[in-house]
Amino acid sequence: MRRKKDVQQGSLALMVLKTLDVLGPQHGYGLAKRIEQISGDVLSVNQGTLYPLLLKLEQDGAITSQWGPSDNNRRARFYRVTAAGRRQLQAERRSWEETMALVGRFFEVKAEDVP
Amino acid sequence: MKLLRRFFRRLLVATTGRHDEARMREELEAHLEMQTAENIRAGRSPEEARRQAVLAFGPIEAIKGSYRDQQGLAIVDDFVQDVRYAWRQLRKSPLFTFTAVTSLAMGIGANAAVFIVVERLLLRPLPVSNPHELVYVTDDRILTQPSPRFSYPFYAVLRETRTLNGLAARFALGVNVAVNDQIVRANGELVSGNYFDVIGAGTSAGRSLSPLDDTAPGAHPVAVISERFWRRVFAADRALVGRSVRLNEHDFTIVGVAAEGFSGISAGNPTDIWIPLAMQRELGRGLLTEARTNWLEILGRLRPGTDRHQAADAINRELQQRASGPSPPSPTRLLVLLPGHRGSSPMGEERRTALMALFALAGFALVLACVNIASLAAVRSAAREKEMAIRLAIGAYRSRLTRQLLTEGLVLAALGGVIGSLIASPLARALVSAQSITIDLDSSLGLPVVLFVFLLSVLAGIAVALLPILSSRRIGPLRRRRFRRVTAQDVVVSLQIAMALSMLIGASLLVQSVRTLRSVDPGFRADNLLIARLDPKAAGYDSNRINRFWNAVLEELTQIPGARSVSLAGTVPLAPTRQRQPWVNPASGEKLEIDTNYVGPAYFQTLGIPLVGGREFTKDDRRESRMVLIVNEHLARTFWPGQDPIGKGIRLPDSGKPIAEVAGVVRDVKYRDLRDEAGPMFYRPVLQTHSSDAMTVHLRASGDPYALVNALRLAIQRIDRNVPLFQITTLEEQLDTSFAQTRQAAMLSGAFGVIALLLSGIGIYGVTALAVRRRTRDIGIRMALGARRGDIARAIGARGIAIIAIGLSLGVLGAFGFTELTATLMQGGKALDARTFVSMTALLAFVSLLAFAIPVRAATRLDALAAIRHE
Repeated sequence: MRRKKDVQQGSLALMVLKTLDVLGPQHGYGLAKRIEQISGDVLSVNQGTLYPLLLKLEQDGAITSQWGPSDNNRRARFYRVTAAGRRQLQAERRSWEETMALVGRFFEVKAEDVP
Repeated sequence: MKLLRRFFRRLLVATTGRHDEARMREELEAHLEMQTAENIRAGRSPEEARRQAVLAFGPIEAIKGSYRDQQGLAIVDDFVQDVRYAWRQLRKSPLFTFTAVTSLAMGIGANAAVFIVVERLLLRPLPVSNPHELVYVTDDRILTQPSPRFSYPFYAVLRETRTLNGLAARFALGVNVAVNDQIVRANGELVSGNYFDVIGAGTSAGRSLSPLDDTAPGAHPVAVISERFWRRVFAADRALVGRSVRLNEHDFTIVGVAAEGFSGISAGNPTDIWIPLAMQRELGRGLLTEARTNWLEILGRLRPGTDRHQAADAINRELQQRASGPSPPSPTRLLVLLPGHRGSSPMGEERRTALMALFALAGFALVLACVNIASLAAVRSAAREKEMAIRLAIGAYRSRLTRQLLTEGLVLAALGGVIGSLIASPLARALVSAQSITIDLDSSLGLPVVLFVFLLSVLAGIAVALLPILSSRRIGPLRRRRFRRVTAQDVVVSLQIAMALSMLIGASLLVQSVRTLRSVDPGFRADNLLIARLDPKAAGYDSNRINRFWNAVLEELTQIPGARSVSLAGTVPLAPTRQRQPWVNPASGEKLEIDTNYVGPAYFQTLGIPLVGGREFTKDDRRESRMVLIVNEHLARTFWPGQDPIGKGIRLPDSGKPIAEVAGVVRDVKYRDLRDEAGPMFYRPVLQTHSSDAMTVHLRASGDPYALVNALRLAIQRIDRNVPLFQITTLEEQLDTSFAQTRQAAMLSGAFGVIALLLSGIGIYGVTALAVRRRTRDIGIRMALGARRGDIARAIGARGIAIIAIGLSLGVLGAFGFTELTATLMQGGKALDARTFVSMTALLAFVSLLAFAIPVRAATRLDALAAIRHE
């Protein structure tokens, strides 16, 4: 059985921001679905844990929310990324890429490369 | 920035409690419905669809919890929750709560009360500008006298010195103020014109006194009154300033009201009215030219940045240079400057140590209260072990449990602190009234007191919670309690017994010393004796008219039905004030300050002081007749050893040094202190003096002395309505106040001792019962294997006996320390009475053994089979 990986809070927040940035306003359920789809089921999220995170991001000013009609005409809370959220996303992304590049170089290193 | 914003948003939610529950519920529900709908579309049955949706969602309650945490400030929320929970827990055991809150309130209240008095009298600087520059001027006499004073001519010389930034003189005296046809007795102060400038006190209305008001004697009848007096007596009348008010027999203009809070330099003895020294004659003194009468207290202000020791040296040098002046100060005197930022407090060194002892006592009581509650709470928390274990099992963090217990302690302490601060003011007033001095103390709570109570409550709360927290650390959902050799609880119970014992022994020693003191024969009969003070000088009587007045008083008072005997005296036994005069011992030629009392005819009969030889003063001992005096036995022995003193002549310490003849000898009376031996004493006839100073009338009643008060008032009014009658009391009460302090200490420690006795009983019971319960199975097995009851009792009992024994022996040791602590409070001497030690130890041993025996007995009666099955 293939074990699913736990998602760390920090990376989940990044995924939320990125998803909202790319796909536009989403409600909580939609977000959960998209993240599952994009991650290709590799990441398992207890869907519910998304909500405290959304609240936190909203308090930080990275996203805003308002009520709106969902597909089946229910009232749902729609989240949208703010300018501040975009800046945060970019900053995080740069730092992520730098980390990746760094870690990547280490993996590339072979024994004979070290003088 | 982000953190800050989040913090404030959450703080808002946490404090307003406005959790947006509706939003959360709706959002989560919407999510579940959408998931369910999708599952149905995927072909599941509605029930299964819903189930899968919930499964995918995750632990819904925990998510809601963290959602709520995210909304508010978790720590505030938890705290509020903890307080609510603690409150519920405390309400569930009202007896525990009541005991804990009461003893904490008593402990905190007692400490706060002592703190109020200490803060007001010993710590708080005067409410003036730069109080730390003030110095209290005294001289080398300070080594032998509490507060040496100075003559006016000396002050006049001293004032000319240039070292200090001003020197002010003061003299406190009672003044009659006429307010709407009524005479009010006020605390007056004759002060030099620069007094307000030197002290650095301002006014809230009008102006203060100035040096111009103090130039020519009698020229400026002006006065400044205190804010308190202005409110109390003149109903804060704005139009008062500039008006004329009759003081004693003269009209004075009120020129100002002193700044709020300033009431002179004597913290416990607030001044109501300030009058320039130049007006002293109008208030019945004639001391401005008297070089030998030391009556003035002097305060100075240091120049900024100078040191008081250097300043004292400089002044002494300056005085030396002026020694050739018109009225040279005595060359043997060396001026000493003491810190004056707290003014001159009426607290003597002895009272100060007594107050500190009281503080220590109150502190000890609070510690004991905390120990008591801690041990009670530990017993209780042992009973709550199961609850704690369950909470741990369903996922409570250990730190959360600790916080919960701490909150319970703090809630208890907060309740105790609130009640304690409510009783602090009345307690402080009671404390002050036991100081046997007239202190008009502002006993309201101030910021320092509130802070003190807060700090004390927090400390007490932590102390109370400490033990339950320690024992809760050992609780686990699955962990069995290990058998420990010594637990914190054992230590606390030992400590509790020890402190209870010390307190009980201390309290009974204090009670005993009060009783011993009561049984001391003071040398006079205090029962049924009404006393009241009369000040004819304030009503304008002078040397020429005073004798007529006293004769009239004696005449009128003798007419009062129910008055068996009537007399007058300058000083009252065991009152704080005494009069001393310089006498010369004819045997040795030595000059001695000896207590001297001016008394009226029939004084010794009225007070029940036995005459040993000669006669008592009569109405015929007048100025025109031969000067006479009466001495006590002690004086007769000192001045005329081995001779009959009757008929001996001695020079009076008055001007002209007339010779007086000893007319009688009386038994010694304890005037000063019941503890001390009576000292030598002179009695002189009131009617042979020229002074019209205040006197105390003594009336021996055939029944209740207070029944005579009205008749006394009427009688004095018939003679002269302007002479005020004040300080009406009985000699018995005067006697009582002289050991009120010891009694208070006895009551305080007694109350705490008895509570401690009961609570240590409960503590021992709790510890033992707990041990029995934990070892029930063990006991059952032993019984099944044939152990007898005695064996069981020994097995369980050894521990309890050890706790009790250690506690008792520590307690006896502690009692020695305790008596050391309260030695200054014990009048009648420090008595380490062996009987008290033994009986109190026996009492505590009995109570603890009883409390210990009940659970042990229950253990030996256990049914072996039931005990083995016990879980």
